[in-house]
Amino acid sequence: MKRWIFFLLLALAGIQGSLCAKRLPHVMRANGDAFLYFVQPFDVPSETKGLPPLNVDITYLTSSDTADVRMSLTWPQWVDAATLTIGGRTYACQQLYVEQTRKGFLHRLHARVPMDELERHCTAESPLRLTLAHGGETLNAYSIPAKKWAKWLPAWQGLFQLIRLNNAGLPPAAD
Amino acid sequence: MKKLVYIAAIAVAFMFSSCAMFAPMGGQLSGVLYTGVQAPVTATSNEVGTKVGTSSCINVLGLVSVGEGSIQEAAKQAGITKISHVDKKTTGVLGLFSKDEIFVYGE
Repeated sequence: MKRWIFFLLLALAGIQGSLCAKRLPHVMRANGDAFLYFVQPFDVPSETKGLPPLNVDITYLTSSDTADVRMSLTWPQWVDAATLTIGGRTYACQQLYVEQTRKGFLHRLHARVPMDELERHCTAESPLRLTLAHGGETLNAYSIPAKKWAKWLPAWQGLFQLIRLNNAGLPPAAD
Repeated sequence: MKKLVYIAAIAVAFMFSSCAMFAPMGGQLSGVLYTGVQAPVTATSNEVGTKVGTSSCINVLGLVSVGEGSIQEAAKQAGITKISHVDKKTTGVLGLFSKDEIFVYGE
């Protein structure tokens, strides 16, 4: 019995390794006179139970004011146009592609969101909340639960601080 | 006897480490206890892009490998049509869990 427990713990140690990774994995690299930041894909749970989460990744180039938010939305029906709302402001989504899967239609969406808006809505008081709509009607809302947000917030704030520090050191963009 | 069992278990874990790790590309570094390596895959003559796409695949216990970790999938995720360069990130723990991530940059 003890041996089996030992082997199980050994196996769990390996799987746990994946959870030891950064809570907000991201990469950054120099891109000409600017820095390119890429927040690797993360899941934002659906507020409606039973629906799959929204998978989101964010790309930000410091020479621009906007961040590219790309989302993978799985929906039972095909959605030909969608909008994204963060903090009361709505942004049009461009559809990159649609794939049919067993769970429904997988939509790959892209929206451009001002970076300062994103930072304003990633605080302790307002966890990240994304709402997708189609034809004026809300499809679904996705938000990070309060407990998980409390653990993630330092990583988000650290990333925004890193961006500010790097921007402060960069030469002004050529006109 | 118990000591023998524990030593055998650790030896098995080390043996599995070669099963859980992906075949290195161009001699990529990897460690038995932990691997966290970012390495280049390829670069093209296209200008350095501002879009980034990623794809990944995982291996658990050297027994199950799943995922779509191709350059094509990563480029599709970001809508990249002109690839500038590709990087790869390998993460592995005790040879029991490993993950390969591809980052494609382009326009």
